[in-house]
Amino acid sequence: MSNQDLATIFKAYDIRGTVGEQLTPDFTYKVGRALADYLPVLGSVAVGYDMRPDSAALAQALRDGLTKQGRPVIDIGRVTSDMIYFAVGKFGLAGGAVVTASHNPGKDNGLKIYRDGVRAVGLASGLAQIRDAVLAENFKPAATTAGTMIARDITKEWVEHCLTFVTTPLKPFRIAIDAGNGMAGAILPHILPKLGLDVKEMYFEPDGTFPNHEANPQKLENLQDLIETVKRDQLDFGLAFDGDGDRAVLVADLGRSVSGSDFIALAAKHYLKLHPGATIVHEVRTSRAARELISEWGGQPFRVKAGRIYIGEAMRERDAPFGGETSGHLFFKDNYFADSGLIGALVAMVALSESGERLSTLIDTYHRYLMIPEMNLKVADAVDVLTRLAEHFQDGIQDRLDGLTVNYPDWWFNLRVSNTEPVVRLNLEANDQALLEAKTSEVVGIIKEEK
Amino acid sequence: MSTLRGSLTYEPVELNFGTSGLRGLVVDMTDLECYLNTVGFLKFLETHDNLQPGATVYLAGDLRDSTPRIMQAVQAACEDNGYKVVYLGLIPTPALALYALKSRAPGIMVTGSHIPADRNGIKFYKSAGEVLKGDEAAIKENVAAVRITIYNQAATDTQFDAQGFLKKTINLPGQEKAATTDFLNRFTTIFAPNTFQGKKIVFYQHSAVGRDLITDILIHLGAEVIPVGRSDVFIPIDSENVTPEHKDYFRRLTKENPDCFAIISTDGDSDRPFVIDETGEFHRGDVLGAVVAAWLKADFAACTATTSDAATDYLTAKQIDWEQTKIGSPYVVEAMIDASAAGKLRPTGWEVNGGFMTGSQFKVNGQELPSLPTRDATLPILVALIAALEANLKISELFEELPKRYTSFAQIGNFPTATAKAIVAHFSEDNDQTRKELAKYFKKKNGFGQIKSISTIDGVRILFASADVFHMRPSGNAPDFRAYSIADSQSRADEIVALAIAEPDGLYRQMEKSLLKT
Repeated sequence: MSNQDLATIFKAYDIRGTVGEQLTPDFTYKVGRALADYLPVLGSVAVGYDMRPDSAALAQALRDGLTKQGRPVIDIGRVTSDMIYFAVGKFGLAGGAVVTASHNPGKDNGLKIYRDGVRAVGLASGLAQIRDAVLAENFKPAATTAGTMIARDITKEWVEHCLTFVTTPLKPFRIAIDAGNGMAGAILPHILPKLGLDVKEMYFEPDGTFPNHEANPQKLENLQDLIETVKRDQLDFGLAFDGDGDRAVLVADLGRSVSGSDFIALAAKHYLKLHPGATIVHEVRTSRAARELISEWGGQPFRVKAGRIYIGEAMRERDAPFGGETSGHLFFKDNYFADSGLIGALVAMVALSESGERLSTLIDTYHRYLMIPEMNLKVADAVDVLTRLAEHFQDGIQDRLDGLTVNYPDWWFNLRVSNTEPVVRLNLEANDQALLEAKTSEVVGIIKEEK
Repeated sequence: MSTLRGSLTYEPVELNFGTSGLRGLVVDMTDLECYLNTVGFLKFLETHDNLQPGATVYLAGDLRDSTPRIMQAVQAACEDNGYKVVYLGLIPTPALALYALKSRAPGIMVTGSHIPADRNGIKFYKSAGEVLKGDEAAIKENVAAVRITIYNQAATDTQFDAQGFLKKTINLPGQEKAATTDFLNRFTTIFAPNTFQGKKIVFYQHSAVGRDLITDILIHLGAEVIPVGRSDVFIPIDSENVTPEHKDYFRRLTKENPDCFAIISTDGDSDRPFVIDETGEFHRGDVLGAVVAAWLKADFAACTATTSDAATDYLTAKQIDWEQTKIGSPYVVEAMIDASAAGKLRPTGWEVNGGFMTGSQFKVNGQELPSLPTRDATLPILVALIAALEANLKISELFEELPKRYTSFAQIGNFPTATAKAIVAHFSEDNDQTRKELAKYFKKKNGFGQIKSISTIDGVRILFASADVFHMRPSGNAPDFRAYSIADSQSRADEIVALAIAEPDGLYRQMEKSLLKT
């Protein structure tokens, strides 16, 4: 494996690669050493891992690398990613890392890394330094006294923390939860008995081979079993978690899908009741409707680039109680500004309990416009595409916060450039179906008019 | 036939039990002496602890120069008698004790605790914990029998040379690190990783065997640890008798580290704690123990007879039943066992040296803290610091909650043990005659008033109506006569012990002369 190839697995927000070829214990050992060197403050590092077959071994090597450089390590064990973020925040640690490829297939694995203050370490915020040190094998000399490792089960503390988000007694909902054979299935049984719900558990057994479906609830095909169950059993709603449990997606009664923007609006309403006038952070792909609703409820919508790093940072700067990505990553000030699938799910239940409405009724009130599912389009020269689009739609209100966003009174679009692939990602929303189709066709047509 | 005994070119000095474990001069702790004491202990275990050859014996030691050689002699004794030695490394005595207890196996710790480097010792642990006072006689009998057998071996057949050293080379087994890990986890399980977040803790490490492990524990609890005074040469430091030099050193450390939260340390085998506040003031183990027992919500406290009434008054105020015992951890352990049998659920115990014991499993922060009925320095250090943090107090302020009483200690040397014991025996009954006689020594002109009560739990402890306390007690293993005092001021406490040990005609010498006359 050449350094050039290996460099590609350092993504914008995490490390993801193929086990055995790119990701080996030797590699994570080096990441451990580089991470220990990089972390700006002294102190312990929490390490966890998910249920993939190779995760435990990769985590062991990561811990060895950290201790080699003198870092004390807290082995949190097999947990959801949000539990690692929690450990870093709750215990004021120097950093944390979890071995997981989130929703990627079982042959993949990866690492999500946080530093002190629960700040995500991405390429723009430290991961590039770690990458360069790993590729050049350029580490500080090993510590004269290796760091020691302790094991700590934080399940109880995590559950107690999550329950603090249940600020209103929950209605005795009848629901289904699809854990997708991911890590959420291991943690949920510790909290569900405390919630007074009637829960149909689906695919709770953690299994890194994902025998039932890919653990990516953002894709509709992965929600089919849950949708069927909600419809068949006439449940109040359904919940699906991704592989590492830091993301949750809702399915409404009658099996109707709930978009990320809907979820953001639902949680935002709850937080604006708790914190009137507060800022709610969202990203460029969020529906215009969600932004309008936040304003109508007295809040301040604040738009940032897509990517989990940007939401947390903006929330800190603006002391926002809540922020969300349309992908289902929901961030909470009271969770150390970190995202959590479980807390997101609890907040949704609280919001629903407060509203007294059925979820489908509620989201109907959020649906003002129509939106296409995000489209990924291969391009040879993304810069050229953005330039041509900007010229073509120069009568619209444009900004370059993240790629190109163009706003018109009755429609808008955003085109972002992938950091790692020759791909642009298109999100487009319009007031009606005809306009949606026409404008999508127009924008896609321009994108494809390559030189 | 020339026997081993006949071939020895030195006069063997037999090891004796001190207040806890065997102690002796290193020159007297030959391989042979350590070997036969170990074999005697194993034979004792075979008859009193259901131990059978083939079983595991855990071995550890402190950082003295003489410790590795003695550990090798102990290892040879175990292996020659069919036992498997698992070497736990150079670790705190409580770490060995905890691991042996958990494994329900005996443990042997080579350490002279806090005493100088020209001395060393061996602490034995049964599978159920400390060797108690009642066990010592049986161990001695077994050692005596083993001594006869080994001494009578043919000099040509024995494995010892004429100087009492093993002829063969013994290599210690590789270190089993589980005891270290268990000890670390004991504290990191019950206390959160951010317990000491933002707190600077100065750790006087000197030659304490737990210097790295306790540093690790503090780091895992979020502290910034400033190690100071690390030494490759063994430094004897006793929490029961802190020298003026060490007191000055602690004050200097606070000046050099004005933002420190506390200074901590332990003795050589890390079973006696030192908690020094941010002003450089050392807080003695008896008051430290009381604070720790209260924080742990103990329902019983066993403490030794020399415990300050500041500590016992505090326990009373906290509604913790307490009992004073003779000096020595075995007595404290026995009192905890009795308290448990009487229905106490959370018994604790400690000595004036601060070594803290838990007589049952405690629940701390919702987690289990397994019982450790042997002296430990780490728990009281951590708990005292946490108690202060939780109450948002400085360490000095934490101890201000206790009644203001001052203690002092001194001892007179070259005082025959038999004489000291005779004096104590002479005053062993609290009656008018005894009070009248004592009043001849403790005169009004020296500030002593009427005697209120006399306690003879360990030595003679006299409580005066003025609230002064004087306590006389012979040393267990040296020709020293010890003097303890408690008073309302440090100067008065110091004055009382100075009056007792003054040469050539202080109170002790007056008593000696009077006794010789009779």
